[in-house]
Amino acid sequence: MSLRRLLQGILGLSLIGLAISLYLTYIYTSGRVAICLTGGGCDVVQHSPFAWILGIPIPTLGAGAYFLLILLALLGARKGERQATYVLALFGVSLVGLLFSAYLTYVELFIIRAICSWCVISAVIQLVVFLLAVMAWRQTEQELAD
Amino acid sequence: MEKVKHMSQKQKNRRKSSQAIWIVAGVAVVAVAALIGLSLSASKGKAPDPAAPKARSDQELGAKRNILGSDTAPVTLLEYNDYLCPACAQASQVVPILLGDYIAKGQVRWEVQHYILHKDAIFGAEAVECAGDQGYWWSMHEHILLNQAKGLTTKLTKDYAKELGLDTAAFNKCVDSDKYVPLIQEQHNGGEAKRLTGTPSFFINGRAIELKTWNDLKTEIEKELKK
Repeated sequence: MSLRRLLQGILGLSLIGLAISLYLTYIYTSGRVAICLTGGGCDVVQHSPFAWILGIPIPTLGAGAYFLLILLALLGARKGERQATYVLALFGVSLVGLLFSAYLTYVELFIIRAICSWCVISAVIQLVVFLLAVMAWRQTEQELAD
Repeated sequence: MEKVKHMSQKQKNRRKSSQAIWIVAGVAVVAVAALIGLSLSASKGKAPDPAAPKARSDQELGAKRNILGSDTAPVTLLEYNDYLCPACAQASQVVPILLGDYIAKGQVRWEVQHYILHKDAIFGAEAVECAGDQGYWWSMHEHILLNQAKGLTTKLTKDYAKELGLDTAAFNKCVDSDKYVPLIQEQHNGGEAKRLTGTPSFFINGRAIELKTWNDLKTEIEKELKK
């Protein structure tokens, strides 16, 4: 896959992630009940002690991460000396997203004992974005070496 | 000579870039460790009292709010419930024992609606709906009925929310807002339209059933399943 294609993939997935995160941020801050694709679980996760960090809802952190990924994917698509730096940053941000998603999934499964469909979708997006970012990095590394 | 120089530049680039990726990965790991630390410390003070009875979520029980059991179950058992009626407290204990297998097999779904016979029972209905917002409709339903002898006040249901380990801030806000009064009224009106004579009242696929003993419930369900 070309670098361009990889970055487009990251961009598309991150837009979906951003939409989910913004929807859930709205749900968390307005005290509403989320539409849960699996019928339940989102409510339990939302009201668990793990739903907020320092007064920030977890979905807001997610929205921030997806926003950064979108920005970096757009910047990285432009040819230039900074391109490699942007792709490297993309790798870093997606790694943070992947590891933190893994932690949150662990908390859902083994501490809260409830699974929310939105969280699962986001975790899968983070995983795929990370893999694409690794591939993008290998591409730019190749180009640097050539 | 020129070629050798070029090669070494290429190798240099490569080494530099693979170094950079490890540095970035290291920074990422540190950032995640910090986030996890913050998350764990934020959850500490708010975690439910470990001595509290462990509430089971609706998801674990296979329920969606006031409906326990499969969406596709051929038989729907509708119960009208009042939180201060002693026979309703019995029903919440007996029905799962009698019908647990049918519910687990996806043959029966159990739906509970509110019918307010005793004035204060509405505090119970509100509490159950607010607990439902957090995914604990059935735990609150059972907890209130088990503690029926204590009576019902908003203060009491707020204590119950704490005992069940719910998000008390959200629960109290929900109860104080009376946001579920219209829903409770609607279900109560539905019961009145069916000319209920008391609680608990049971309907199997819309048909009113008379119970002389609790076991009649099982007999009626069997009859409906054979249809």
